Amino acid sequence: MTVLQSKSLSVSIGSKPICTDLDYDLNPGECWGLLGSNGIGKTTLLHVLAGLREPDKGKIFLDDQEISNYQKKNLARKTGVLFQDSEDTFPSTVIETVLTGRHPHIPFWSFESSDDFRISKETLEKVALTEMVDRQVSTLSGGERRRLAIATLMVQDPEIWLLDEPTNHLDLRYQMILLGMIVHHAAETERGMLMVLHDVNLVLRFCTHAMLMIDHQSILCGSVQEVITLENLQRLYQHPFRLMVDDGARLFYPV
Amino acid sequence: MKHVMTQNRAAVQVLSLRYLSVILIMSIVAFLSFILALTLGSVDTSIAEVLKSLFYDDETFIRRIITEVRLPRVEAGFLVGGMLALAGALMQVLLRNPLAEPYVLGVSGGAAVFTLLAIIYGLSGIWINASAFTGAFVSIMLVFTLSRAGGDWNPMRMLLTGVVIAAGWGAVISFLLAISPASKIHGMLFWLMGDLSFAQHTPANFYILLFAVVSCMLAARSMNLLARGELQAATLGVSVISLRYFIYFMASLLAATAVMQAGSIGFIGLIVPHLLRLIIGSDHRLLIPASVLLGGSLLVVADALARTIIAPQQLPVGVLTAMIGVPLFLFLMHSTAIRQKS
Repeated sequence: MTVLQSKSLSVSIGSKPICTDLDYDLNPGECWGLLGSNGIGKTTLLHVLAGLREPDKGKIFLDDQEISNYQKKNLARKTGVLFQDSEDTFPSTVIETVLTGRHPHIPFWSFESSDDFRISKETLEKVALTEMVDRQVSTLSGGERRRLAIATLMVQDPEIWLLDEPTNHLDLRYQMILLGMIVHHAAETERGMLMVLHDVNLVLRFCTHAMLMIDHQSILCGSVQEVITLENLQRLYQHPFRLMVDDGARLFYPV
Repeated sequence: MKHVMTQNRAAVQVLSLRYLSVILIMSIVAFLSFILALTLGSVDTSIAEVLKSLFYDDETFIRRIITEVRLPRVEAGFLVGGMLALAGALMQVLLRNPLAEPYVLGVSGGAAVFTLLAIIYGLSGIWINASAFTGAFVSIMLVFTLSRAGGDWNPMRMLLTGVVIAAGWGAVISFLLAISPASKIHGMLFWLMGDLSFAQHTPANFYILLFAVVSCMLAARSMNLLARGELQAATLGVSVISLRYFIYFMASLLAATAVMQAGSIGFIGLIVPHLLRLIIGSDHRLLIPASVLLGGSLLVVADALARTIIAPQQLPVGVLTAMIGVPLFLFLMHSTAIRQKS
């Protein structure tokens, strides 16, 4: 059970500030939705929290230890990232790709064990890719590749999951199935999750907490109930919203 | 617990079986290329005589030709071919570009300019090799320094820097050829197309290649991840920065050593790793040793043909590597495309 913390974190791209003095805690079992308009810096912030990019100022802690003090392989057991897109320069099969998620768990001198194969195959079954085990990744559709990337992160199974638009390319059915699975996993095994989403209603449905990046000085963090309000959403997207309540569930829709 | 252990052993066996069978097949290919190259030459020899000379010690004329004239050149060719193929595989991962090859960062151009200058000034023997190595090293440092000017390491900028510097060397080469006396042009062209008759057979080559293979094998699993992108590799626990430095200098060392031995022999470094990616996949734990074995074999066969096709005249081996490599590669790519479609 790992806690991810940022303390007075300031990040910028060139001269454009992304966040200023951000204090943020991601606790075990929490599932955060990160909302913000295009180009506001959601991906950059996610990369900084994962230790892939240096902040301008401030520190990031994993279990009270600074992230830069971790050995790379130990860090990969603690945090994992789902990127917006995946590269495929060289040919690779589905099973080879999903097995890469096991890398941080395999000792230096070893090959993949049968346990690694078993875990990988079971996970491919969960994302309905069993029949494609030996297919080349380049022949998969966008949605299938997305499921494969999510399966790779599931196989890595870090304690903190940072997901950049996990619903990209997924149809409605798989959005429900995969987000449901991820959220269930977070609650059951006390993982901490932070995911960039563009759909407010998915955040309401699946997340316990929300982070709203309005601008670099006002990043609102808190439980879904307190942060996601009509007023905040209008500030966030510069667009009027309406609220509908159906059977106790809140739904926001743009006017 | 016991059950888990037997399961583990089974999986390791499956992997190592595949691994061993590929290495075994490649070793057989390498052995056959040696036998073929030792059999071909201006003096007629039979395969039986070659095998006998290799494994029995007798003081015949034939044996001396095979072990003292042909074998050193075959060994040098094998090492150079292995170095080129490994350097190509490494450059492809480093630049994450399947079209990368050992000379893409200007190594051969730099070496060529310095060597042509040496030839113009009448130097020969070991001085030619020393000039080639110096030129390769100058080019490597130039690309490295210029492409990291922003402090950041970007494969695309490095590739562009290398390509532009190689073009610059190309212009200097044309200039030098244009102003050189006709008597020296033939030697220059042979060097430019790659030729093993300059190769010095020293144990150093063997140890450089051995060191490269062993150290690259230890980094092979990390290379598999780097091939999928730097961020992806970093988030799976690879120390991307130090791995990049390692690959850059290892590939440069191999390419410079190969160029120093035999001029710029084309195609091996591009085609061999590519061919193997099509056949055995992109796992570097297999790709690295297989590239060395196949690259070595291909160059040995090409050199044997270069020596004998229009004997007593010799062809530059670079012509033969392209003549064998191009159709082989096109055929394989074509048949893979057809297989994937069906």
